[in-house]
Amino acid sequence: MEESVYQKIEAYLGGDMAPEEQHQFEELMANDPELQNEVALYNEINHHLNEESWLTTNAGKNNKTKQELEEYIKSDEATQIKSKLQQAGKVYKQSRKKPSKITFFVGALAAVFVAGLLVTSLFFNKTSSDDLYATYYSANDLPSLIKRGAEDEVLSTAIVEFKNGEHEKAIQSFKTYHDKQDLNDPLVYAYIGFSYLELNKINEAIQSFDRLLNSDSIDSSKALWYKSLVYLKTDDMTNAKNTLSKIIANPESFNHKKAIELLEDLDKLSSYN
Amino acid sequence: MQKTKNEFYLDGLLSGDELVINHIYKNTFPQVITFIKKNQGTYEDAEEVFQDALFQLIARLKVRRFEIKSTFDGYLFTVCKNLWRKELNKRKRRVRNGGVIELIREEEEHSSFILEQERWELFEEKMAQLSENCMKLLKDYFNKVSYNVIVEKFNYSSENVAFQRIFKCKKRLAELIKKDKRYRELN
Repeated sequence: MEESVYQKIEAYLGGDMAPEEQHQFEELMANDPELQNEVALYNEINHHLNEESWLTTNAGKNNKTKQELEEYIKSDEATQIKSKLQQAGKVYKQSRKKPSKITFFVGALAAVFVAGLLVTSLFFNKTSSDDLYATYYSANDLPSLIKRGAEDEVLSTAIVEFKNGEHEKAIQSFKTYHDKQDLNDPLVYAYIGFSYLELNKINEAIQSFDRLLNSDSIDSSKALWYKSLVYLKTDDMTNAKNTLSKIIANPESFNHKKAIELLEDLDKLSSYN
Repeated sequence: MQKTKNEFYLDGLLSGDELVINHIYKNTFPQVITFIKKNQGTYEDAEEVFQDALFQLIARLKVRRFEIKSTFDGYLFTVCKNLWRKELNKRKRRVRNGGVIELIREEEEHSSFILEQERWELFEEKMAQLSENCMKLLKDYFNKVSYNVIVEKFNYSSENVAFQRIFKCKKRLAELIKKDKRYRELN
């Protein structure tokens, strides 16, 4: 092919053609498979050389290899290897941080701030259900983790991040803390849940509270209360009421009395609207 | 016969040897975390990329059989960089599409990347066959070093000369790639 053709290819790929010229070139390509291949190759070279881009090729064309790969990926053997890789990831994470003693104070200090943060963050975006949420939310309802792991560096970090509103980081740290050794502390899910709630990841928040709910912790019924707060905050009245009814059904549940009050308030609210 | 270091890693991976896998984590993962955190990612992202890279490497070894020509660590790090490159491009696309998440089957995602990575390696191999001057020139040009800097650095008499030279180098690269039968096979 002539040099001038390559200049056109470059202009085309670089988006330097006038609309009409571009249209002509595309027509030319449509009737010339060799030109088409050449353009594809130059496009791929450009992507290869540019360190920021990656060309997702339409690799479905190469059926046999692709199929073989996918068959292996779906096999039991591959699934087992994958879980081994994940396990190694956990082992690595645990080995990363060793607790130090100074952080005890940071942790204790953070505990004081957590209460303040939760209350203030609830006063944004007020709607009537949000008002209720704020009224019924009490920082005291959040389980204290400090007693359990005051000397744990990861936990302290998590709480500081939580306090600073760095919820994504906090989630990560709480998970790291939770994955450590045999530490079985379902209450961490409460914090992860509230972090997700702050990030507006409602499904994840609910999932996290469900983990607490399904755990054998004596505090598992707290999860129902937290869930009703989530529904309240997202204006999901049906689920809020359902969840509250579950709390009410069992007098042993956490915040049983409050749940009755809140349900009454919700009923009033829906009769206004 | 003594096993080479690469064989030790690859055999360990293939048999799912936990000691070897833990060792690989310790050796290479920190570098990947640093890279991804510097490039708009989190620890979680790094973890996902690293696990995907290892997993895909295993799948590729099982199905395709290939040889790692560099060190194992270096190779793995390169794959992680490419995986992250792909992920960032995907995220950019998602932003452009107003947050629409593309739904791709997991095995499809892995198999596509494995083949793209194979193709990437082919292109790298061909790059290495260019003259050193050509290679440096192309890299600079594509990583947005401006023409006047290139003219000075490579001692060209004008920007036009630089442009012609880039053009020729690219054409040479294209020819090398086209000549290789793997280029067609991988299509």
